[in-house]
This record gives sequence, C-alpha cells and structure tokens, in this order.
Amino acid sequence: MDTPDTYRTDIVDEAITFFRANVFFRNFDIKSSADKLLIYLTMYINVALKRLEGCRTLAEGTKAIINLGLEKVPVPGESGFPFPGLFPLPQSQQEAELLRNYLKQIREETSGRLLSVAYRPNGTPNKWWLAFAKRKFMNIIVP
Amino acid sequence: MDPATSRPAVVIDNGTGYTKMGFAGNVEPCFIVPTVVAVNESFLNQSRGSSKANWLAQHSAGVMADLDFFIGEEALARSRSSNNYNLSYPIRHGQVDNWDAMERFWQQCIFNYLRCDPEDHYFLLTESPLTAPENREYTGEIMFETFNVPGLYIAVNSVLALAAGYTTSKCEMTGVVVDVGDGATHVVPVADGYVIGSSIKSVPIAGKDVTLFVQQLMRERGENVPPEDSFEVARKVKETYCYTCSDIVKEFNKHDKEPAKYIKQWRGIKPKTGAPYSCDIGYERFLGPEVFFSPEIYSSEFTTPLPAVIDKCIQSAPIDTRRALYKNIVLSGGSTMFKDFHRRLQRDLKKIVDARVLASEARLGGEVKSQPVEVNVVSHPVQRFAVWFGGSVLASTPEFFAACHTKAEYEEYGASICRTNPVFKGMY
Ligand SMILES: Nc1ncnc2c1ncn2[C@@H]1O[C@H](COP(=O)(O)OP(=O)(O)O)[C@@H](O)[C@H]1O
Ligand SMILES: [Mg+2]
Repeated sequence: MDTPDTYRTDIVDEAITFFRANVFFRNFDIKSSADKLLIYLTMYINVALKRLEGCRTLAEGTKAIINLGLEKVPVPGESGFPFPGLFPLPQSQQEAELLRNYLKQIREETSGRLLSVAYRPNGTPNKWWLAFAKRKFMNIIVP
Repeated sequence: MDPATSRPAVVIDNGTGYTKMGFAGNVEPCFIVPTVVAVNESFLNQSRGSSKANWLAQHSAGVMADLDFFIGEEALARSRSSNNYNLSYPIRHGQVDNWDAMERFWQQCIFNYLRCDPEDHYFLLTESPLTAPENREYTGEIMFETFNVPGLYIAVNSVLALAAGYTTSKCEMTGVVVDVGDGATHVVPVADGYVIGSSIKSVPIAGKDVTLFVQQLMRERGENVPPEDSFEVARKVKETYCYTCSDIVKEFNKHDKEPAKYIKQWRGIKPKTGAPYSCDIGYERFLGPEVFFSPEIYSSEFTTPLPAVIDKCIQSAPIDTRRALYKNIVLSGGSTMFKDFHRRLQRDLKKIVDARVLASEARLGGEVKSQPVEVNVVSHPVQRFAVWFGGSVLASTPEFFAACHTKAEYEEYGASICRTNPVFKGMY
C-alpha cells in the first residue's frame, strides 16, 4: 500500500467526492486495491463525521478530529478493523506498523479535506455534510 | 333499451393509496382521494359498556356507527382531531382486505362525492392482475345487491393503463405496463389485451417508500419540521420537488455549486401553535426517486433496480412477444411522475439489453450480427391516473355496455358471472 503522494491525494479527493453517494451503498464492485482503500476511507469519513456532530464551530471540530487522530488505528487482523477479509493480513509486525502508519497518514489527509467541506469558510457547520453523520455505512456500528 | 346505457358510466379506480373516481368520457377523474375510511366507534363502545343497554340503544348505536363515517381527506382530518374515529385502509397491496370498509368507501364515493344514483349508471371498477376470482364475486355482490347497479365491468388495471397509453400515442395492445403507485410497483406484460400472468413481477418499493426516505433524509439533516406533520410534508415535498437524475455523484456537486438553483424552501404552519416555519429541501430531491434505480440505498431486503426487473419480466415472457414488449413500455401511476423518470428508465434498460446483445454476439464469434432491440419507454400526459383514464375511454365506447354483466344476468346466473370480464373491441 505504499504509493506515490499524488495518487494518495487523488484517492482522498475521490473519497470525499464520492462519500455522500457511496455512504448509501452496501454492495461494491471491488476491482482493485484502490477500490478497497476507497471503501476504507468512506468508513473513516463516516467515523470522523460522527465525531464532528455537535461541534458547533470549526475550532471545536478541529479539536475533535485531533483527538480522533490520537486514537490507535487498527490494521487488518486486529480487533476494531471493520472489514474482515477485505484486505490481506500483514505478514509481520513490521509490515503491520508500516500499514498502520500509512493508514494514519491518509486518515489525516482526509480529515483536513473533510474539515474544509464540513465547515463553511466562516467556521459554522455545513449541514449539507454533517447530516451524513447520521448514516451508518455498510451497517458498521461506529465506536 | 336500457336507459342507463345512454348515461355516462361511473369509473372508479380503487388504488391501495388513492381512489380515482369520475364519469366515463371525461379526461380527468372528478376526485382523487386517499383510500381510507374513518368510522366512529364510540357509539358501539358506549352501548357495549353500559349495563343498562337495551336492544334499542344497541340498535341505534349500530345505526349511528353506520352513518357516522368519512372517507378520504375528511377521514384523515377526523382521525387527527378526535380519538373516536378509527381508520381502516380497505385495500392492501392492491387487494381488498376489508370488505366492510370497502363497501362503506364505495357508498360515500357514489352518494357524497359523485352524487349520483347507482341504479342509473353502469359501473367500471378496476382490480390488480393478481386479484383472485372470488374477490370479483364479492365486488359483484356488493355492486348488484347493495347498490343495485344496472351493469358492471371489472377491468384489470394494467390493461386499462395500456389502453390509456395508446389512445394518447399509438394503437397497441401489446406492451409492458410499469405501474408505480403508493404501496406497490407492478410490472405487467400484456399481449393482445391479455395479461401474461406468469411473467408479472412485483417490487415492494413504491411512492410511500419515496416519501419515507425523503422524511428520513430531512430528519437526518435536522430540518425544522413538526414531527406530527413530517410525513405529510415529505409527501408534498416529494410531489413538488423530486426529480430523477442521471448520476447521483454529479448531482451532489451540482447542488454544491449552485445552491440557489437547487436548494428549495418549504414553508408551513405548525399545526399545534399556528406558528409559521420554514426549512430547506436539498439532496432528497434526487435521492428520493433514486430508490427505484438503486434500491439498496433505501432497503437491505430488496436490491434489484426497476430497469432490471422490467428486463427480467420481458425475458420471462414468450419469445415471440419480447421485441414488441421492449418497444412499448408504458408508465402508469402517481410515482412515475418524477421529472425525467422515463428517460432514466429507458437509458438503464437499454444498457442492460445492449450488454446482452453484445455478449451473445461475442459468444457467436462476432460473425452473426443480431438485429438491434428497440427499447421504448412511453411517457404520456395522463400517466398519473392512466388506469382511470383508460377506463374512462373504454367505458365511453358502445362495446363497453355489451361487455358488462347486467343486473338481469346477475340475477339469473349468480355472482360467479363476475369472475370473467372479456377483453372487448374498443380495446384495439
Ligand atoms: N407529481 C407527483 N410526483 C411524484 N409522486 C406523485 C405525484 N403525484 C402523486 N404522487 C404519488 O403517487 C402515489 C399515488 O399513486 P397512485 O397511482 O394513485 O397509487 P395507487 O393506485 O397505488 O393508490 C402517492 O405515493 C403519491 O404521493
Ligand atoms: Mg393504482
């Protein structure tokens, strides 16, 4: 999953662009590892939006997202990783840590993009995004 | 000659959600009312509860209950303002479920809405293609015995919808009727005026589901609508603002780029306090009708898109009818009224058909080119009440009166004659 930075920005953009549509779906035609990553990021945006629910300003929202970033990021095979069987299991502890770091980075990038759409330039919440906090992507119960 | 045949026939299309009623020869029904009855049960409870109740009190309570009932919007209004009225919905999933309520409903249709004497008019009623023949007997009994009608014809609603399609465009009694009502969606293939029963497909998603989805989306966004009003508001929002889009991802972006164009305002009055309120209408405008094309966004049980259901229906029909069926897909019912609904249906169905043609050509090694299949989804101005309109047209032809069962025949042969209702000339 270590990929060039431009690809990563693209996939983050794509995840944001497709989120409000994809969050409604349950069945995906998965053709590539990019498709899998898209599903993972859709789940993450859903989680992040739930943290933003109730944050009435961009400042509060940013704090909530920073706190979310401090939490441990589970990788495939660990409890708390949402899609059993979707990703190959890391073959060693070292590979697991590399993957964890990668997911952490891409989550951070996604968070930044998300904050810029979930709040308006004047810092007030944008209900046209925050409404999607109420959705449950693929019926995953978000912690 | 029977003088009733010189008067316009009464045409009533009892839908699960809404009843369309009027007179043959008109272009629109006189009334469209929710198919619901509210009966005042308090009289019955009173007499049952009191120990001194004599037969007279009981009798008059029964009479009062018989008189004190409402249908349609009035029924809904009564049940909202008083606890004494019980609502019953006589039709469920296209079938009469409560004959007592059905009879009361017809009674008000005839005497309070159409205000006519049923002994003076022939009647055309409708039924679903899935109705059991016994039900036609019950209908016949009520019509001939309670209302004393001179003649009755019970038509299959899809056949009438097809007739409505051809009177406004071309003369075809072969086609597929896609009827999307309030509670159910039926895809019904018809060949030469006869329903191909074994190929009928039903979809459990219809207008009420769109309303529920719109309501849910507005609630999730925290729109300020009084909860006791939110279903009705969602229905009105749906009927006024929803449309079919070609791609939901693009549509989200359009809304973001031009909110002034796409985001609408709803204004209402709070029923309890009378205070005015307003709220925004956004993505539900296109997400509502999307439930027909991507049902999984709304339902986890039913996930086949409507275009795929239509394709399955035609593929299961006799092979020599298929081309004609693809060519004449007629829309019917209130929930086909979304802007561009027919275009999306046509595009998605064409995609499925073309993919199959390509696949079969590839299988044959690319040597044989098959003739392209023409897919045609017909949209027409009377779509919303196509069934009623088709009935209105057919019941104004002279052949109609000959095809009806008459009171005399009913008396001679009994209710069983109502089981069959011939396809008659005029349908062609
Ligand atoms: N203009 C419209 N746009 C979208 N839906 C509509 C429109 N008019 C009516 N409907 C919906 O159509 C449904 C009623 O359709 P109808 O064919 O009369 O149903 P049925 O015959 O099953 O009772 C209701 O859900 C109603 O909200
Ligand atoms: Mg109907």
